[in-house]
Amino acid sequence: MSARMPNPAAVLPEAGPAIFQLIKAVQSGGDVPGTTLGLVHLRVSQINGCGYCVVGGALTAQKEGETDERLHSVAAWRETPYFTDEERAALALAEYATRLADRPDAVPDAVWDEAARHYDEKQLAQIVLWIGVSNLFNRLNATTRQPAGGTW
Amino acid sequence: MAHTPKARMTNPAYVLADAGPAIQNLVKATRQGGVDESILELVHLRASQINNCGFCVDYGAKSARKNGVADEKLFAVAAWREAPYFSDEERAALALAEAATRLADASDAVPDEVWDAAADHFDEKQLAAIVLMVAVTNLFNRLNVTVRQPAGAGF
Repeated sequence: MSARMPNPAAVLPEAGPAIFQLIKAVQSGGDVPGTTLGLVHLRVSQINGCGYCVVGGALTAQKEGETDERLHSVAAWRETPYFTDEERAALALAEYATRLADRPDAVPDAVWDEAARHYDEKQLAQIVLWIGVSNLFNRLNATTRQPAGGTW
Repeated sequence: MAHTPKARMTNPAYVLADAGPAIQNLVKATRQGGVDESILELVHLRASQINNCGFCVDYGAKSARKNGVADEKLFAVAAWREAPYFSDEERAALALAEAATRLADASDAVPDEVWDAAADHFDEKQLAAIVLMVAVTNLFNRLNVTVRQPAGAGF
């Protein structure tokens, strides 16, 4: 399998640095645990069918100490005992905010309110921006068919 | 009576100090590929329509008009296939924008046919700019839809 072209982030000189700047803005913007952000990225990438992102995301999370049972079950987290209420709220928000296309009331109050119960405004900003950034990654990689196996 | 919605919270791009400048740099990068501004505007608008982003479609239409996109294109872009106003390049970019936006739960989301048509009209640098524009728009849409950013106002 080969990519359709190099990743757009590598083709346009200012794109790569801007993306790193954006990642840093999320990571240093507040105190949402890195493990939660890792799960959010993974779940978003699963929904969007981004092969490069699900493999890279799982490998990175594993390196940072995430357990295999959580990595294996995050695709169907609702019926598993491994995730905290905070993580479940973030995962639900990630799912709804990713499935925007052609949907009315895409992010319903129940999902937003549950997230807002667990996270303050700064933390919500981190999570929402991270969902946005993951959706951006997915479009760069899935559209150009980047093969899975690389990490960042 | 006018509907005057209120955002759920301040836009995340403003809450996190370093996010705004990073996003601006990302937008700048989309302008490095040598793609006509009007094509990038149409791509932004169409992706934002699909994702139901009220703030984005309003802002995008006004920005496109300022950049010289004709009203008939702005009115027709939601259903561009049956309109005579778009060039082959624009149609290829719009088809790519639609496919790359509707990734969720799709198999073969961006089929060869769509990719190849885009690659017929645009070189690698231009393709990179269009794909990045689709991706950045999808990021904007998630920021604004999720916090219910009202159309027509500033952040």
